[in-house]
Amino acid sequence: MKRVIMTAVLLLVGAALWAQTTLKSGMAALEKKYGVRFVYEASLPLNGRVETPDGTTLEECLEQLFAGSEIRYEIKGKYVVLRKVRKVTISGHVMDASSGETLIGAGVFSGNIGTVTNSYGFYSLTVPEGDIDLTVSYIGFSQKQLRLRMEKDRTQDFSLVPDARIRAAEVTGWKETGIGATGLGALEIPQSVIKRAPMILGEADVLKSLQLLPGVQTGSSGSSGMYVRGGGPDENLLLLDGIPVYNGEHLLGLFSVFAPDAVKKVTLYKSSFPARYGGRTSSIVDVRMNDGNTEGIHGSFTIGLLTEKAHVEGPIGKKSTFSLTGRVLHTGLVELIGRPLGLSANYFFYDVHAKVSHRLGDRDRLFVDFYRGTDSFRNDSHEYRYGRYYDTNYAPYEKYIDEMSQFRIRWGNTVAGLRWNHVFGGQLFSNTTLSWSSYKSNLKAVGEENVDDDGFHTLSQSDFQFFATIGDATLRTDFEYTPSPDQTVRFGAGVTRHVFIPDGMSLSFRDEEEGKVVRDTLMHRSDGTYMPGWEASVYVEDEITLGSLSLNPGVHFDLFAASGKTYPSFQPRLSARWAVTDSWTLKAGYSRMAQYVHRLPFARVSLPVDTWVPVTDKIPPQESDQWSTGVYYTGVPGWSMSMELYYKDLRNVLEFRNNRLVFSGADQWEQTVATGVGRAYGAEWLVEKTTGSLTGWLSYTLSKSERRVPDGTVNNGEWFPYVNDRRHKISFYADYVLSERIDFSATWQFATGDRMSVPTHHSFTIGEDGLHDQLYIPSRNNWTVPSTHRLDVSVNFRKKLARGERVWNVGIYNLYAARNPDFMSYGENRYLGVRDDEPQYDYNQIPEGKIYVLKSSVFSVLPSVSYTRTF
Amino acid sequence: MAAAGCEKEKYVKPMSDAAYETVDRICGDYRLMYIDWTGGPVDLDGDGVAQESLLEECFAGKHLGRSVYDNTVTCTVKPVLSYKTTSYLQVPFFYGFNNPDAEYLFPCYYSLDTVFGEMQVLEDGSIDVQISDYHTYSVSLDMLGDEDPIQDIAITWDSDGDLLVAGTTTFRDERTGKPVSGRATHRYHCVSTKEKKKR
Amino acid sequence: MLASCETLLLPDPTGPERQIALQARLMTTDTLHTVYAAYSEHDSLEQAEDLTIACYVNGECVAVTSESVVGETEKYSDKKAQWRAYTFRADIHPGDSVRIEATSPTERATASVKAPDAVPVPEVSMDVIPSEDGESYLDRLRFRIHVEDQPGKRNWYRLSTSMRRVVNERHPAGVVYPYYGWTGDDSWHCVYDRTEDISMSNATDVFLNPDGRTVDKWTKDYLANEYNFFTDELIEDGAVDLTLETLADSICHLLLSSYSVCTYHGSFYVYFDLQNLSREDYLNSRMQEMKYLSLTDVEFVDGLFSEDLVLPDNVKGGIGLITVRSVSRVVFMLGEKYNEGQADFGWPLD
Repeated sequence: MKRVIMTAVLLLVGAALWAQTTLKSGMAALEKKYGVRFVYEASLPLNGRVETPDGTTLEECLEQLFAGSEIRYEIKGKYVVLRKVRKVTISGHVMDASSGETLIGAGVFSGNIGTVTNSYGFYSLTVPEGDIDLTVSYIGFSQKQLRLRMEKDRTQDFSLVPDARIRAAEVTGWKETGIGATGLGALEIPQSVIKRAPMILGEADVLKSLQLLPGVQTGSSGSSGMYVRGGGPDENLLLLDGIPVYNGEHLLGLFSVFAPDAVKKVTLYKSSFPARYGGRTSSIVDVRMNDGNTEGIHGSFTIGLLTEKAHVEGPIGKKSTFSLTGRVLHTGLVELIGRPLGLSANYFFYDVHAKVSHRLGDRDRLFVDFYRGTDSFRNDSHEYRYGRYYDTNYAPYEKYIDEMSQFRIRWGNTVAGLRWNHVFGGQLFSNTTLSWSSYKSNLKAVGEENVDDDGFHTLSQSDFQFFATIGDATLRTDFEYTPSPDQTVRFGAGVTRHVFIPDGMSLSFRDEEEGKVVRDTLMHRSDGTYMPGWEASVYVEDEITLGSLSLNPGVHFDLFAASGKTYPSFQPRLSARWAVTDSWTLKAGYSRMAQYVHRLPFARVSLPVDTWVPVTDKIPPQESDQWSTGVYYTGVPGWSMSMELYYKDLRNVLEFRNNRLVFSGADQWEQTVATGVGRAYGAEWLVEKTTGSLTGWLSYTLSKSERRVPDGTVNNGEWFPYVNDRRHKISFYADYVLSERIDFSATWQFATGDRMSVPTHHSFTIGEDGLHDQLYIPSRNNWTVPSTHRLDVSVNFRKKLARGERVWNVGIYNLYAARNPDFMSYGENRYLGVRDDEPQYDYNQIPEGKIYVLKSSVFSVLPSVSYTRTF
Repeated sequence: MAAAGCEKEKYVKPMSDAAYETVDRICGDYRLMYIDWTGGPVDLDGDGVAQESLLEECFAGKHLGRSVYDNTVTCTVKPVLSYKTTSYLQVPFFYGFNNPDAEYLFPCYYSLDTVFGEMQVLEDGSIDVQISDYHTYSVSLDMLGDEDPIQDIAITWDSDGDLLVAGTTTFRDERTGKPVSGRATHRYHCVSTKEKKKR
Repeated sequence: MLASCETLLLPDPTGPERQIALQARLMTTDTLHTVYAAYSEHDSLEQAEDLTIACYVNGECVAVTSESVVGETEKYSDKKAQWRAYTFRADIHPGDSVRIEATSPTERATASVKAPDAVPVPEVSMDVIPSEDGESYLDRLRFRIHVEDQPGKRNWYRLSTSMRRVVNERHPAGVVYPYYGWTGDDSWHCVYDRTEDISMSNATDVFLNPDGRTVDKWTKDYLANEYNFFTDELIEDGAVDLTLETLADSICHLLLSSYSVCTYHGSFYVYFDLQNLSREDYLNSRMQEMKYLSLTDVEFVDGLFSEDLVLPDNVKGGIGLITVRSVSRVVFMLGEKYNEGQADFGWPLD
């Protein structure tokens, strides 16, 4: 009996052993069986156990033998040549077939491995040689599949056909932003939202649409000043194709400088900043502009209630494209907004953006970018005055005074850049940029007084100018190295020369008597304090995927030199993503950021005469440390849900001590500010529906932000709420496509109010000149302004024409006429009854001495209509 | 470029031509020329001689010891440049007083003090004068007594352009030792040349 | 549709319904001190007539008072002052700890401060700057004040100036003026003795007014350090020379009514008070001064163009600021002059 069992076991083991064999013996068996010889290099790894091949032909056996290994075979007559599977790289650009515009963030996949296109639409994927099935996809476009035989590195461009029905869920693969990205706190605004979300007076706006996202607060109901996660409006870095823009607003923030037709993609980073970004502490807004259509001349023009816009793009020859966009404000319609805001006379702005791209070859592309925008406000007055006076003899004299004055403020950005993309051998991509960005503001008051004084003619002219400039010249290079689909290394360096002139001033007079020049002097001229600064930065970051875990560690190092002092800053960055299951993802991140420029606001509302100042030997750079974590769920098809928590620590923030001095010299402003610390923390929920004809999102943010000035010059050194500490924010956006011809969109926004200091008691104080009544404010920003909420709707009526499309857009801003606090002020009731000069207030209602707050709502229901024609 | 003042219609003058004409006429420096007295000749300085002209009687000056005193009493009327502006008038006025209850240490019962008024010019060129209740006296109130020493003050201009300031007052005639009441009208004549200076 | 719409909101005021408000600026050179007090309420400031103010110096109670008078009114205002002045006598020296306690039937407020250390008395010298026109009454006086800083700690100073003019009148023997009630006997009587504000310009002083020379005229007024505050932050070498200027005639010119028979003697002094302040006192004064440099209508601080003033506060159980300033005074005699028959002085005094 024992023998039977032993034999059975032996047979089984033998069978098992027989079923498995080493590679080498398998090869030996085949050599014997088919009379072939294997030829290979000694270094070829030929160990490992394999299943014994049992195919009927040599090819079948070889297939089975080498399946799953990294060995390739080739039958050449009697010889079978073996070699190790090589990795080859396929790279190229993914474009929109209809326009030739490169697509950013498009997915390129082969089986499980894949990548996404970068900011220039470039992808690089390293795969084992052999046949691959590539799938290329992007939101709003039909997928493309291609089978290729990969034997060596090659370039392959893809053109995708637009298909508006394709929504996010049908796109496979990772994205730079959202759930798929390693970093959290980054959100992308698709162009469809930028163009369709209803905004003030029907004008779609890039920066305004960012305000619909969680974690982004606004200053007051019209303005687009952005406060991201408790940071101030100067803590956001605005990049136009990688070039920083200093002032992103027109007309007190009602419009941003980016005309939506020219914008390709907008990404907002609120935390987990990749190491390639630096220079601001709260957010990065990366705006990429269209390159230009390669297929033919296309464009659009729009006539709206406020602006006229025109956009045209097309090819220049075979290798180049251009894109040109312009926008100008209807000067006449400015009056409608101007009057309630207290402005008078003319105001207009214009934007011009031009871009030319040129393909030097397969590996090189050149881009030239130019942007110029100007806002101009002018108030002219012409007065005729009669004066009469008497001399010591009491003889009367008559004086006729013809007074003309011109007041003008202009401000604007000029941005120019030259960029060169170069592909080194498929895995290494570089972009080098040489750019110039400047923001200038200029105030000019010219007066002329033409006097006939009892027959004696005099002419007096005065010219006062105040100007401030900030300009950057930057040379920067960035590299992207993708050695494998699981890893992308980015590194680069840049150097910027900053020039700040915050306080240029010139005052001159010219007087004539009876036609003869009596005085022609330049009373005071200061070209302004020339404050140069150098900024150098270098970074390296790595994006690695290890199974379900992705890590993006990085380091950004800055060196800033100004006013004889050098500030180094070492900024580690780390973000991690763990795909727990197919539906659940967890993320965490840490970033340190530093900022070397501050914008000193003139008032609570952002104004163009705000001054940009650099750090000095007395004012160190601002720094922030942010920790964030989030959980994401995509288990329900077509929906995605996320929750993020953050904590931000700020150092060296600037707070005004009291009163802002206008036109004070640069050496004065340092005394009016104090440096302090801040902390902000909160939670953000976002629920998005991304498929179907009804899409949109709902977000809720709960946040707190406070500041403290340790030297005691503000609020006695105690913590106080930051001016933009708005506790709750809810944003709702919905987009419904009824048919090809009609679509609707609506937004509803709610936010609890920001803060202001309001007195609570009457008191008095001793000044150097005696005692004064004084209203007592217990602490700064002690009162919360009433909440803001607003419903905006818009509908598009489209009609396709022989060439292009025409769209009528009708919208209503603030549909239920909510009275939002646009300007707030407080006062003390010193009068009883109705005041003559302000009959709309009946102060009888409130007791004398009562402290009141006046809420001014400027924007009520605003309907709008615009006509757009594309060609 | 048109010289200023050419298109004179564009210039809005704050007052009418008639009002300007009035202001031009009445503004300036004035000097007291004569005091018209209805109470008849009086002897104020105790020299035994009674004169009609109060000016001669009052300006002895010896008893009051004030070094600024001389024969010239002046006042000024400042021009007004709009209907709302008032010109403050401060006109010196001679008056007498006689308080039987006071103890006098010396024989002097008159003084020169200021009468206050406010003047406005109206659109038709007429002048509106308001007399102030407010007076200053350089003599102590114990000596003046309870009643105002100057009553029924009126300030007007006559057709010659002279400023007339009238008031009822009571002097003490030194010859009789008795009080004499009457109306004293001070006539001030404008001494400003109103000639334009050469540039 | 774009019409501006305004709503009046009444915020719910926080804090007590009524609390004691105290303000005092005590000088070490005074013996008579005043503490101003009122009841601070949400809608008004009320007179506090029933308070008892006690002053403790170095722990010992040196004065108690319950008597008060209505305080002086606010400059340029015809509104009756709601604060009451409580006056008491006490000697306060530099370095003393001072505590002021205010008690009412229902409330109690106290403030404790320490008088700053004494400062060395500054040295003052004067130069006469003749006027360009040759008219002597337009001459300017330039004072150089040498201030020694106290090393080792932060100091905040104010240089305060005032002028005192004394005029005496001598009645000659043998003259009888019964009308004015005197008989001459060659005796001197004081007819005028007042200490008044003086306007001194710091425009040529680079330390007190760094922009005075470089900024154009219309901004200069806004930025001028009108009350001559300074700190030792920028003092190098432990001492600084300050320069103040004034028109000579502004001190000496005095016209009083006079008798032609009398002789008049006038003497003219300029007081330089170097005040050593605590940090809170300095911030309090500077913040108020800066408030008036803003472009807004001062009556209606709207928070749009200015930050709101949260002034320093050291009163516990109430609100307000009590400070002590240690003062070192220099009496600089400008000169004296005799006149016959008229009390009309002017520069030059010779």
